[in-house]
Amino acid sequence: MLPLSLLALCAVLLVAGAVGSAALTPEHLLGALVKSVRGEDLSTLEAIAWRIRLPRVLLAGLTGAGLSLAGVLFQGIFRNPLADPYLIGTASGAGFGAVLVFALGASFPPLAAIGAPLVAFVFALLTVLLVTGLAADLGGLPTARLILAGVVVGSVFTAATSFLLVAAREQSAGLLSRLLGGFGFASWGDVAALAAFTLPALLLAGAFARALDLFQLGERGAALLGLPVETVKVVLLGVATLVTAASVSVAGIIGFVGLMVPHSVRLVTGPAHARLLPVAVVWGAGFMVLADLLARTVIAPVEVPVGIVTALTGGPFFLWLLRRSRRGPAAGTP
Amino acid sequence: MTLRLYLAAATLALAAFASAQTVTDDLGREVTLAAPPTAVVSLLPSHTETVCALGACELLIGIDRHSDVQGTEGLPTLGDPYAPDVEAIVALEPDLVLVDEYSGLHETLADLGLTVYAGSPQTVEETYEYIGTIGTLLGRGAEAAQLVARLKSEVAEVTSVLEAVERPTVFVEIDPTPFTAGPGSYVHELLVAAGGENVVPASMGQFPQVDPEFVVAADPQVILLLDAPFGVTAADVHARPGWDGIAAVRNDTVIELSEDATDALSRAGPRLAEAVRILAELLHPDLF
Amino acid sequence: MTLEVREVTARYPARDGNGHAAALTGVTLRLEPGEVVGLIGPNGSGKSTLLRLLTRQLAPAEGRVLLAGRDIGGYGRFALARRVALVSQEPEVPTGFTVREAVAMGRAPHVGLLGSPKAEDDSVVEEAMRATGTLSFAHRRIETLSGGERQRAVFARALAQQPAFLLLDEPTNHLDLRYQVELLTYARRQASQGSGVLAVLHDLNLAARSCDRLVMLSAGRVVAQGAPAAVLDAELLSATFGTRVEALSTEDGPLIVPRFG
Repeated sequence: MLPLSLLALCAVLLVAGAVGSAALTPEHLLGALVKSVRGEDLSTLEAIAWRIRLPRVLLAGLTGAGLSLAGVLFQGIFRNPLADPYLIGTASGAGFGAVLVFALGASFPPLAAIGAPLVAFVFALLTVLLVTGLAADLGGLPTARLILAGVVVGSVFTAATSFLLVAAREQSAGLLSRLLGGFGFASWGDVAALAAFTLPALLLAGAFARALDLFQLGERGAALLGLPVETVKVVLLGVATLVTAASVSVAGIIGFVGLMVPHSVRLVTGPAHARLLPVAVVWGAGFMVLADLLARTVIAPVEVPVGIVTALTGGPFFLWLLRRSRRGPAAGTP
Repeated sequence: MTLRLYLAAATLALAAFASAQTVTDDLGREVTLAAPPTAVVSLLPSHTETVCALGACELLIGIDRHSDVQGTEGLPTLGDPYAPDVEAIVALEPDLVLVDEYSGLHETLADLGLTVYAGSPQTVEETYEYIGTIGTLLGRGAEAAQLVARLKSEVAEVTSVLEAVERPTVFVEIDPTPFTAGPGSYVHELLVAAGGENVVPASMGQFPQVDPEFVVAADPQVILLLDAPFGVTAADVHARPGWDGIAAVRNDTVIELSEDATDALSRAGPRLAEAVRILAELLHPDLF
Repeated sequence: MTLEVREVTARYPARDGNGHAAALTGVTLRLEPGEVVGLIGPNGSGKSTLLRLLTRQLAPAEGRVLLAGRDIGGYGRFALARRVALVSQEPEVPTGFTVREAVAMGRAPHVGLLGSPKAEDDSVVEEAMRATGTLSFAHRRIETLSGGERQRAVFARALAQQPAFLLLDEPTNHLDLRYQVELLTYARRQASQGSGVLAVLHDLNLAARSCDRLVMLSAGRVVAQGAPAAVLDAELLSATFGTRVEALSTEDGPLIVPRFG
């Protein structure tokens, strides 16, 4: 499954690199590389290929991989195939942070100087800390309390965000599209920053693949086999949160990927995380690159926010899930 | 005796009929006033500016929070053009309310018994028509015709100078996502009148969100930042990946518009000629 | 090497800090390798609490829990899991995994947190499945098994831990008679190979016939310990369980019969 998926991902990356509002060829890319090394000026298409298209495609791929990874981790820890990376408040916190910068940036120049991505990231982490703080009980992090706390804190931040949006309507240029998510001005800096979070996270999560399998015996069952349950939970939730926060701060809130991809891949590879993790990550990357490709080509050169593309695939996905679960107790996972 | 009474009544009726006005607004509604209004509420800056430009500023009893015409300073502000304080409007007992056709307010206000005109011009031609319509409604038809004639001649002054002049390619940015204004929009027509060429083709629609690659490929000579009042700077544009090769960036012709200029460019109405002149000065500084 | 509790009193933490009445009071019990000990008593008598103490899910308020003479708190998590295995009453089903994968999870205490299984681990799993007759459906998904098959798979997982002590929490509930006998036979076999087995059982007659000795709890205290014939005394049983019973003698042990009317 994995080699096939990787091959498919390569194909998707090639197509996304070539197709767009500007039709590009590998020559443009190579030409850009050569000229950059020589310090020469790039032609327009070369500039587009190297400075806009390639970072954008890579950023989409990294975001999809990261969100998908976070989804696998959340679904594994919460033992719920409907968990998604935004369960414990990452998205609502990041959204609030971004809106805060837009609303108050004019009055507080230091805030604007720090920039929306960094503030969004910080708020995402703060939100998760708040949620885990609320949910902590007798030295552990009961999953039921985590979910409840996540819902509560998420609602509060969402309401606060809405309030800011209304109160600061004049400053809301660019805000809505930021919240809807997109890879529009992806830079190599963004790619590097996200890779710095995502790649180590992939390695760490891979090491814990068997531990995640043990989680499926229930926390008590896993503890009886010697697993340090609370520690593993904190580490993996931490990793998932960091990756999610990084993605959201760079690309906005893009839904459904972290939920649909792990869930679908599990139906194909089975629940063993040694297989599930790498395949889900690859599929996540491919899916996001495709979604971004669609977003910028379906009515090119007009763009559709990529969050809308992923949301539109969400509906049919859940419909299909419903139909699967109807066919009787023998078929499929509940 | 009776005949004189009948004649007097008929004359009065005729006079009333003559001063009664019916116009059709942008939603296709028939707006009828029995007599010229004396208490007007305006819920759109374009409407406020037009009313005052027709010399009827004193008729205004309430305006929206964005209207800022000289002469309306003391008036009660009734909120946002799309979500005003309806109760306050009704309390003022206006005989005419001017709203934007996209506000959705016409039904609410009409249901409350108010006379509502819903509309706002989207192009230059529509602006001239619109001024005439408002003039008719307010009983200032003559002033309206004069205003329109003046605006047309002022615009013609500018366009005549630009007849044989080369037109720079322009990208109009109205939002940093980026959103732009295409053919069919007011800003676009002002741009054309001011001697500029929009890089956005008609096929993309009036206010499309564009792929940044498109702007780089189009390589505009000028970029107009209508989102500068929201904090977008030329430096921000220079920093966008891949945009440093664009002519406008290389030649440092990324222009941040002031809030006043942005208002003039967005409020279709009596500031039309002023807006054209502002753009012409920016695009052809050597000629104006 | 023994697993024992000495004079333990155990309580559950209460939300308001006042604590509950003790679930166990002054209980002393030893489990030796090679024997099958049955733990009986009415609901609420403290049987589950005792299991929790022995698997370190609960710490005693008083007294000590010792494994091979050392305090159980001194063992690392994996070290403890290599010595003590619990077959839960209603274990969570890891949906989607095959039986073999689910049984292989029992090797976790030997493989460790970040390690990978080796050939030796695979052969232990194979042996555990053979001993429990679960090889024939090794490839099937665990949620598709019947109750009896699933309980055997859970038992196999516990065996894969290669524990010195096997604790069974009402393993025969919801099982057909055939599987009840089967499971207790596996337990016997494990004991004969050197493990110490402690089984919490509801069925007194099964307990009498499958265990070397019985321990009867009532309201958190040990009220009897010893050979089944001695512990399963009609009067003691009637008092403990709050209903009249008769103890009949048969050649393989006492037969307990409840009295109606």
